Amino acid sequence: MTATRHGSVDARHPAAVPAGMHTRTVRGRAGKPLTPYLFLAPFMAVFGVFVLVPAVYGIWISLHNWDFFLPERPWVGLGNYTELFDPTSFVASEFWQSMRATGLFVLFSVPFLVTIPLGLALLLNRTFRGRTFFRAVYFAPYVLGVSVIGLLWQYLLNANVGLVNHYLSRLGVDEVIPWLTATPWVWVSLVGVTVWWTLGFNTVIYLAGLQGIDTTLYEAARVDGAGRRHEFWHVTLPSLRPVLLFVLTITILASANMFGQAYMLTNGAPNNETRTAIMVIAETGLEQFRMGRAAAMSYVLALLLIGISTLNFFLFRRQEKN
Amino acid sequence: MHANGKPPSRRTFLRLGAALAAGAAAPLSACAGPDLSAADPPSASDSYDGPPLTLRFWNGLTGADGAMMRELLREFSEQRPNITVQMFAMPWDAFYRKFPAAVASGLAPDIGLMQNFHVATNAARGVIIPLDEVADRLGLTEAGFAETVWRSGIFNGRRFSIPLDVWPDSLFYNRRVLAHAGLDPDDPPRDRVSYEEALEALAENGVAGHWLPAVDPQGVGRGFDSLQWQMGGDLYDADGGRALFNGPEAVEALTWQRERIVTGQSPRNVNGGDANVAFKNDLNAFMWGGPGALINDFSAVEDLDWGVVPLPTIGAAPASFAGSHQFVIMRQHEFDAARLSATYTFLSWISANSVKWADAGPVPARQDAVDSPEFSELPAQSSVAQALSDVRFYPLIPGIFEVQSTILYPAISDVLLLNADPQQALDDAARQAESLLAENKQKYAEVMT
Repeated sequence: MTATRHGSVDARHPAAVPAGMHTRTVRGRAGKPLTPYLFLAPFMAVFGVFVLVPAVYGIWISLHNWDFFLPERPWVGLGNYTELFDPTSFVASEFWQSMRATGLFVLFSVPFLVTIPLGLALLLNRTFRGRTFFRAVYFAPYVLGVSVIGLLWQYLLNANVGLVNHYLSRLGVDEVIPWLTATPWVWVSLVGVTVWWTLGFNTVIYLAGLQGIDTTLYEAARVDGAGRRHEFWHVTLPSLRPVLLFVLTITILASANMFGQAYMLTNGAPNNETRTAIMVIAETGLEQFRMGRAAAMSYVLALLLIGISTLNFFLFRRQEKN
Repeated sequence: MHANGKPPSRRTFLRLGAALAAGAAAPLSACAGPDLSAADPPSASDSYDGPPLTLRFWNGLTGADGAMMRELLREFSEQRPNITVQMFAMPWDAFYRKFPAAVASGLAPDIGLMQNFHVATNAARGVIIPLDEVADRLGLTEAGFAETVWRSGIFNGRRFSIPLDVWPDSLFYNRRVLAHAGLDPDDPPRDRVSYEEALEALAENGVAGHWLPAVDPQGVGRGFDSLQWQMGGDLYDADGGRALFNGPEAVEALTWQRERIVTGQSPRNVNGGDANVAFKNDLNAFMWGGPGALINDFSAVEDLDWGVVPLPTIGAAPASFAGSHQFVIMRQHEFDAARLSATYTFLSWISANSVKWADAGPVPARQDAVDSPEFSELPAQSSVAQALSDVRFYPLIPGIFEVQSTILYPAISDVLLLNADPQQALDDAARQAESLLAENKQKYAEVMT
């Protein structure tokens, strides 16, 4: 990223290029060399104290059998990690079951969370009466906290006394649908609630992206005889690429960190099938106080997510080159 | 600034950052575990008369019981103007997560109230202190309490808690629903035959008589616990090394529960909350639950005609799962004699006045309170109290609650959702429990010897 910034500096000062690397840098950063770091300092202080230090500390914890309240915290080396990859251990089976649940949730929710808001943003980007009202309406659920939407949908989706089943029975659906207690309904509920809750956020980002597209591109396309569909595929989508990458990445990360919805709605039912990785980590670390093991689990999850995000970036970059 | 005037390169900067992070983490990791040597609070009287002070009291009484407790605290402060007890209530699971951290960081409250099945765990963690001498000083002895309740405060040969109350799971019945099905609303079924007959009579009237929760955040397995004890089973062996809940008695208990659902005497996929809503709307005749939660809950519903008796005896002998709220004193980095004295004063007062706490629903732990005329004026609580001799508690094993809640309860839930066979599910759970029990044993071994 620094490299691109240098590039733009070069472009504005073409004379500096032949002078070589050293001069270029000094001119580009005119003045005191520490200035940029001082600008970064307030952020770095917060980032360091609340992210970097805990993260490093977490590695240290994960190498111990660590209970906050017990006097002995024996060093176990990579024991917490090897245990997670030991197919005979109960911990591993619980952890990987939760990873599977997390993976399924990502798989089911991300396509909807990426496409529906895009369609919605395209609609809301048109000019029509009441546009602002609808923009607010679709964003509204996102304002609510997870405990609020959890409680709300718990009442609505309750199998025996819930409103959803009540109306379904009025419509002639005689079967009682176990929204919160049986597969595949639990996934329908969790994904549905999450999409309803968070689509406003992605929509707003898409909207900003859409408004940033140069209108002359559309004019040019129209001059060339492009229809609406062509405009979408050849102007809108390519121009949205950085926004798409951003939305896809944060949506995957957010879905992989899903906790509140499952905790409130299903609490892992049926038989821990909807217990997500974060739920297991929280239970292990903060309820049973097995911090070392929980830290190791967190690192496995984090490494996987870093891997997926990197893959994501590479895929988009390769497309860009093409 | 760099000697040659060049700005630090990005790599240097990153290295610097990493070094700083590691450096900052080092002192954190260097700090050893908390000091858990035998806590030695100074001796203090149980009649504080010093300058005014405020005690901090944490608990999980977030419902109507919380309001009741605050009322008691107000009354106490009226009689002892120099002691104010400031109460912080938070959901129980948050309480169990937070207070050990508060103790470790030296910000512990003075007093806590906890459920009996968490006492052993926290005693083993060393975050609460032994109270043998305190109990002696306050004149509390086994003779003054129901035996099971009194002994539930003793772990590893020492007393760690003072029981306040006991809440046996009981049978709540909707009188109007019973009468409507032609059953005697004044004579709820008390044994297996009459209970099953009542359920059949209700079914003939189109009422699912016993909504049996298959999912319940409050603990779906409590009915199962009671039943398997009634059938003669036990959950764990004496020293907490082995799970026994896959024995024939337990399988019979779970099979009986499952039958209620299969035969339509309970709807499927019932959540703990559903059973309650159905009961309040005259759609459910029987509910098994704790008096602490339900007595006030049902009393608050206008036009609900209900009663409560001890659980029916489905197995060979009566038995009811029960819990108990117990006072504990938190470990402090440094104990203050004046605060301790005020704490003892408060414990002494509230124990002596525990009959007033019965308004909140539970039965007082003290025998003299149960025998008092004030208590006999509470019909629901008095009826619940008949079960006192048959109450059963979880064994006093550190970490026992997590075995119940993370292994046994999900297995029971799976069976009651009709996804698994009782024997198979309990066998699997017992095998999983074995590894957690062994781990707990090893983890707490040092403190326990």
